[in-house]
This record gives sequence, structure tokens and C-alpha cells, in this order.
Amino acid sequence: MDIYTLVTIAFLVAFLAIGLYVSRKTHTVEDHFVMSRSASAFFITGTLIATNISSTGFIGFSSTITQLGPTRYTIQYGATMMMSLFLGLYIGRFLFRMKLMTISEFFTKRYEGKLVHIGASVVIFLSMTVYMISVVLTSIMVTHGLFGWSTKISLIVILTLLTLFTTTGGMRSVVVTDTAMFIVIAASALIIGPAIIVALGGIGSAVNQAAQSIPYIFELQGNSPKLIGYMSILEMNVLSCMLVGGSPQLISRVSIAKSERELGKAMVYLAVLFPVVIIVLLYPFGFFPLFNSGVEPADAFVWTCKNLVPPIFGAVAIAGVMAAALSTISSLHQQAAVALSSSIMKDIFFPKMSSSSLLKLNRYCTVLIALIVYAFVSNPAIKPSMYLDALLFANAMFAAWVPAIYLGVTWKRANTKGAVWSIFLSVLVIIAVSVLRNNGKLPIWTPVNVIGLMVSTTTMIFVSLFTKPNLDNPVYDEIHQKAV
Amino acid sequence: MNRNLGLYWAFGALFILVVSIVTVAIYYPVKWPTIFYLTWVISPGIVGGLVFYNMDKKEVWGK
Repeated sequence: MDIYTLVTIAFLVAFLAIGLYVSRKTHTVEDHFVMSRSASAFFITGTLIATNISSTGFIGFSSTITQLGPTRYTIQYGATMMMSLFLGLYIGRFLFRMKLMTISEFFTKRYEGKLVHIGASVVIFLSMTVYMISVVLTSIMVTHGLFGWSTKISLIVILTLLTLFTTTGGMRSVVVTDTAMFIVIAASALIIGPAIIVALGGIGSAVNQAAQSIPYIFELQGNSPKLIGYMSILEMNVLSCMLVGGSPQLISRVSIAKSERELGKAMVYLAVLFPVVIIVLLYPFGFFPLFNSGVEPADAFVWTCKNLVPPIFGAVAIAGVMAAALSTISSLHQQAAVALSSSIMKDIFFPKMSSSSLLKLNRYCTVLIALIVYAFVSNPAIKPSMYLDALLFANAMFAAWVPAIYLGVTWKRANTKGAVWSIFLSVLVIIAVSVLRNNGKLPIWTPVNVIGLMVSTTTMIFVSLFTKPNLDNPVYDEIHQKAV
Repeated sequence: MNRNLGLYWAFGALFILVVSIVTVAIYYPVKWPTIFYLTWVISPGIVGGLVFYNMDKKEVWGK
């Protein structure tokens, strides 16, 4: 067993121990779902960055940047920061005041009838599970490249570990371990990115060499034609907005904050720290082709860890990738389980279920979702390279319900019919456009999430405008009364 | 409660942006795309810090 394996296993054991230790404080459903609304800005920032980066950020993006240039895929983080601030300093304050336990609960409180609640819950469950499959696929690339583990062994180790601490500790374990993982991820970023520039003789030398052999890295679109490059930038920026503003694993962090100010503070920390982590970690991979190392782009990160830095630093960086993967998967796992147990099974089929039974059901659902992910990813037809398709599809699904949330808290006239039509129609359009794009019937640059967002937003506005409004809405009035 | 917190973080982000842009201006053969990229990614920190400072000053936070 080499130093990389040893250090990674040591970190995994440490994360598991932290998760289990913290889980001692988890007793009630509120503890399990929203950590009793006690998170400080430090923990919210830690969990948001760790969840947002994921192994897709480390392995997927370092690989893509190596092939296409550094700015095309990292420019999306500008939209991530803008949306985080919009969420934390404006929209999130209204959601915070609603004291939500789950994101689907928003639809129950804001809109009448069960249909909109069912639609939103199904979107959450599906998108979280598909997103989890995407991140598990990239994690398998890491465990295969690093330890030589087969897909099945990687899956068993990853899913067992996560199921163990997600079932026992819920949101509290996820948030505290995420924050510990964030520290390891930040350390990895500071070690690996700069190592590439240093190995090339410093920034001046690296830029001179790049200007001779890979001048495309200085262009926004990288080495793609301008139309494809710019459409991809647009799609990735919208993807980032959807991810931050619409993904349950990130938006749910609003409910764990101990106050509105702590939530706002966390988003300011995030907006300053996250770009630094991203630029320092990922941007230097644009210079990676200068090494002429002959390694596959997908192996660029692991190769850098093993060849450009002392082994102990490389080992910590690889542990950082595993940390990023696990933190994201655990958040997705937790949200998918909450959607299935509370928003679908309890709210729709067993509304009189007690809190203790719900807690038990949530744990069974966590295990069930792990089994679903195992069944999908171990299927030989599912290839690791499909991670980006799964990510884009899951993300496009968020576009279906974002207008129902954002217009729901800012526009009194937004009504149930608008929300129902918006969610169901855009889900159909997103599935159809994704299938047509993957079958080559639509150009590869067709931005599915942009189309989904346009359909859901216009449907929400038009249907709400032309149907009878429900202006006597106590929840809307209550969350706006407190605003100055 | 430190009411200047937002201001400190805005200045921190501004410092990072200035250092990055100066580095690009000195070394890069093609400067504007990368300067635009850095501004797009880092400037939200400046905006966020200033907005937070303003919100703190006006005490808009709900109980």
C-alpha cells in the first residue's frame, strides 16, 4: 500500500469518525433535517464550498481545462458568486423566515393543492439521484486511477461509507464533515495548482511557452470555435445560477442558518473565498499540455499529485478530491432521502406519520437511494464519461422549479396554476431537448437548461397573469412584513 | 457584532482582483479576455461585501 492510498484511507476514516461523533447530538427530525437551525457562517460557507466543488470540479474540470483551455469552464463561477449573493442577501431571507424543514415544504406553504408539491418533490428526488450518479461516476475515475479498484468495489466502499454517516447523523454530520473536508480541499488547491506553474519555471516562463504552443488558453472560448465556446460559456453560467439558486443540496443551507445575518455573512465569505480556491486550483491546468506528459486529460490531476509535488502533499491533495466527492455525494444523498421520505412518502401517502417513524423511514430511504445509485452505476452501459451529461440533465431539471420559488417569494400574484404548469411543462421540454441533443437531432451546443428556464419562467408568468390570483396569501404577507 | 465586516471583505476581494489584473497585464500577450474573466469571477466578492455592509448599517435583518 503506497503513501497515497494510506493517506486517503486515513482521511476517509477521520471524516467518518467526525461524522459519527457529531451524530451524537442528532435526536429529533429537526436535528436530522436542518441541524436545529444552529449553523454559523463558517459552517455554512464550508459546506457550500465543499458541496459545490465536488470531484466533478477536481477531476472533471481539470481534465476539460487541460483539453479546452482554462477560462471556458471556470468563468461560470462568476455566476455562482452572483447567485449566491442574491440568494443569501435577498431571496434566502424570505425562505429563512418560512422555517422550512425541506425545500418541497415551500410549495406546500406557498401554493394550494397537492399537485405542485408532488411535482416539486419528484423533480427534487430525480435531479438529486441523477446528480448523485454523476458525482459517483467521477469518484470512480479517481478510485480506479488511484487504487486500481473496480467499479463495483469503488461503489461499495463509497456508498457504504456515505450511507453510514448520512443515516446516523443527517444534516449535522453532513455539514460538519463538509467543513472539515473544505479545509482539506483548500489545502489541495493551494498545493496542486501553483505546483504546475512552478514546474514550468514561474508565471512568466509558463506564459511565454504557452504563447508559442497553446495560445488558445488566453482566449475565453479556449480551443473551440467561437460559437460553440460562447454558447458553452452561456450554458455553464446559467448552469451555475441554477445550481446555486435552484439545487436543493445548496438552497437547503438557507434553513440551517442560525440567523438571517449569519446566512448573508456566509455568502459574502463564499463570494470572496470560492473564486480564490477555484482560480488557484483549476486555472493552472490550462498550462498542463506544456508538459507533453502523454497522460490522458482525465488523469492530469492525479499525475500532477504524483509527479510535481512531494508525495505527502500529493497524498493530501488526492485525499482532497475524495473529500470533495464524498461531501457532495453526502449532501445529494441526504436531500434525495429527505425528498423521498418526507416530501413524497409522508406528505402524500402517510400524512399522519409520527416524527420517530419519519426518522426511521428517512434512514431506510437513504439506504434505498444508495441501492438505486449502485444499480445504475454498476450497469456496464453507463460509462464514466457520461458524468457531464448526467450533471447537465440534473441541472436542467432545477430550471423547472426555480421560477416557482423565486417568483413565489417576490411576486404576490404568482399562483398555484402557474407553478404547476411551469414545473410540468418545463420538465417535459427539458427531457425532450436532452434526448434530441444526445441523439444528434439538435446541435450539441443547444443549452438545455437555458431553454428549460425560459419555458418555466414564461409559463409561470403567463399562467399566473391570466388565471385567478390568490391575493389572500398569509405566508406571502408574513415573510414580507418583516422585511424593511 | 462588527458592522465593518462587509467593508473588510470587499477590500480583500478588491486587493485580490488588483493583484490578479496586474499579473495578467505584466505577463500575458493577450490581456483583455483574461482580465474580463478575472473581473467576472472576483468582483462579486466586492459587490457582496459592500451590499452586506450597507445592510448591516441599515439593520435590515429580520429577528
